[in-house]
Amino acid sequence: MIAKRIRQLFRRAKPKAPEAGIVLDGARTGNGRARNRLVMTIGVFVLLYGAIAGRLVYLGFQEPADGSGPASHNTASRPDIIDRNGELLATDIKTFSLFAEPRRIVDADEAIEKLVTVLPDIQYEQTYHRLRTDAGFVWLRRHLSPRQQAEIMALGIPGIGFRAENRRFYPGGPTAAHIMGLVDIDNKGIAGIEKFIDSLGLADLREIGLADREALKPFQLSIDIRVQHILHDELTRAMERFQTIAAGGVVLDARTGEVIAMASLPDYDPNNPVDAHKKDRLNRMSGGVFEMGSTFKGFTTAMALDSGAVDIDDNFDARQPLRVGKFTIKDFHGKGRVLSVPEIFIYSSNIGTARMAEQIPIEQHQAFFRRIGLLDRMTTELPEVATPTGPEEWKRINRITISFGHGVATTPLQTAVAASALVNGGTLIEPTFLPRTASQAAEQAKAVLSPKTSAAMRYLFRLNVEKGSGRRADVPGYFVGGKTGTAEKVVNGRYSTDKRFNAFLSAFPVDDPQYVVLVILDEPKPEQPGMGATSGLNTAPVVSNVVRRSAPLLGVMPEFGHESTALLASTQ
Amino acid sequence: MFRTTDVILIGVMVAAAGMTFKIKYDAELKLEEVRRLEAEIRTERDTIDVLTADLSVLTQPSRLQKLVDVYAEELKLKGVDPDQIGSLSDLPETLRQIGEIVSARPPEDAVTDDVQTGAVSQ
Repeated sequence: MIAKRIRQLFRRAKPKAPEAGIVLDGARTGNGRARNRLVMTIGVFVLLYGAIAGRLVYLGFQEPADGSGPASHNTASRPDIIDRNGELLATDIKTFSLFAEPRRIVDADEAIEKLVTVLPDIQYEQTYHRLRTDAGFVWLRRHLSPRQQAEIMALGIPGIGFRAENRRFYPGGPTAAHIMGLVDIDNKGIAGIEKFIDSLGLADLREIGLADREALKPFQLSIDIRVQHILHDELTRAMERFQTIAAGGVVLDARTGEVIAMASLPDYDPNNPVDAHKKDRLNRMSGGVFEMGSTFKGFTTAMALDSGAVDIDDNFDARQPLRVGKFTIKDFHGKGRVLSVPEIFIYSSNIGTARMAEQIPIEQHQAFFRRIGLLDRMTTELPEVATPTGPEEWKRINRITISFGHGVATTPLQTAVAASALVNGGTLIEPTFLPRTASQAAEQAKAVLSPKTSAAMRYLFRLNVEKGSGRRADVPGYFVGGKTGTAEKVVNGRYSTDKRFNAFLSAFPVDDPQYVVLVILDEPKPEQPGMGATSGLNTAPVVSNVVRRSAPLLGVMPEFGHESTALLASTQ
Repeated sequence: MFRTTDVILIGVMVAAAGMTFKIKYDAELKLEEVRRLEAEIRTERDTIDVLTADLSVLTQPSRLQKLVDVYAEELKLKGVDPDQIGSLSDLPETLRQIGEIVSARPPEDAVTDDVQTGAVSQ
């Protein structure tokens, strides 16, 4: 149609041609063939430009092709977690994953040559083949740093792109794994403090889109990463040295209830939590319950002294094993004589402790253990908290075994919390993983013991380290006081004689306790054949190492020249 | 044909159009600059995050301990014992004066510690 119109135009133009400035050769000669040729040429050009114009209009209406690649996986921002000194424990880092769309790559060779300038270790051939495939999408490299991303962007290669991903990163790796917990692929907290943070309302904030990275303040914990590392390191060594199946420890501020460090081994690397859900990786300190053994004698002794029914100078007959029904209570290191209260404590006499407990009515015994929080589920920030188990109603045999730590299973963390009440002047303070000042602690502290009983307990703890089973826990200058516990584990419903659960409960400096340290070792083996594997031989040295290494970092000044007689005098 | 006022008005109109065009063009340029800067800030922020994480990895107590174990012999490193920690008031009076005597000495008499660390060269 257009060609016809042009022909018409020419026909009209023909008579004017001689006068026109521009003379068409074909028109002048009147040669029809030349004119046809001209018309055809013009037609071809018109067609050509028409096609291009049409294509342009078509492209103009076309929606620009989709941004390509998989839909961006929008992971939520989380606040940084820092320790009590502001050291980073967990952070979000933005990483970029590089992808290519081979169909859009113009020149694979050129693209790779340019990429090599930024990523020198890229595999040339493999990448080349991937870029020459017909696939719509291939990943080239995951987790690039922002710097690398900017450099690749500047290369201006067509057909490649980035996906930004928020990734949770724990610089300390497994050091504080059980405290930090875990996040899932959407950066939601699913365990530990990460879950606690979400429960504070971060999840709601995120729903309405307010959880902006810049708006989130760092979340501070009461943990000290240096002490945490020391505890973790010492427990790792102890696990190797004594071939245990598990180990755990906690360092607690005796005055505020803050958890300074807590570790449970075996653990996992939160950066790559492939085995976080294995059965043996549970957090034993707060999520596992154990019969704590002789460390309970401290609580029984405190109860007996606090009730007024027993005086520290009283004597109890530990010559004969105690028979209750069909059970016989014996001593592990029997002295076979009448023992005073401090002697019962330092020789860890089961018979003596049981006789001492029997001076107090059973209900009172149970009520006291409940009061110091050993029988109920404790409340703290960590979601992984186990409920202690024990008999509903205490019979005579129950209270006797419970008096020396068998028959009630409780979490090591709450044992440490109860112990801090024994030594800090008699106030029970709930444990916390968040910073807490002394005044905040005082607000919620519950008095459970008289200060006088607490002073007597400090004396007994110290005496046990000076003369009793805890000698290997001593650190000159830091006045460690503590109680060993070697519990026999229940295997197939019976107490086994060769499988033990060892604990050492200690406080330092014990004349004015600032920190409580509890270390547990599950099934320690003798270091050398023929040696024992009691708590004094394995958990006590671990506590000693932890105290020696961490006390200077915690600002505890060593003191020399103390006389323990002075300590004794202060209790009278 | 044209009156002077017409000429002036046309001039003003052309100038206004020119101005508008320039302002719009400049604004677009600025906007582009703002976008570029915003992207840069974002990149820098992300880089800072990565660098803080890096620093934290490098100063992890567990890493430092490994380094100490490796270089303990070379740098003569020893753990601190409790009896090496004290405050100034623990020292007897005469010992405290020694500090003043030492600082009063001319510097050439000062003893140089020949143990070299990575950070300090003497």
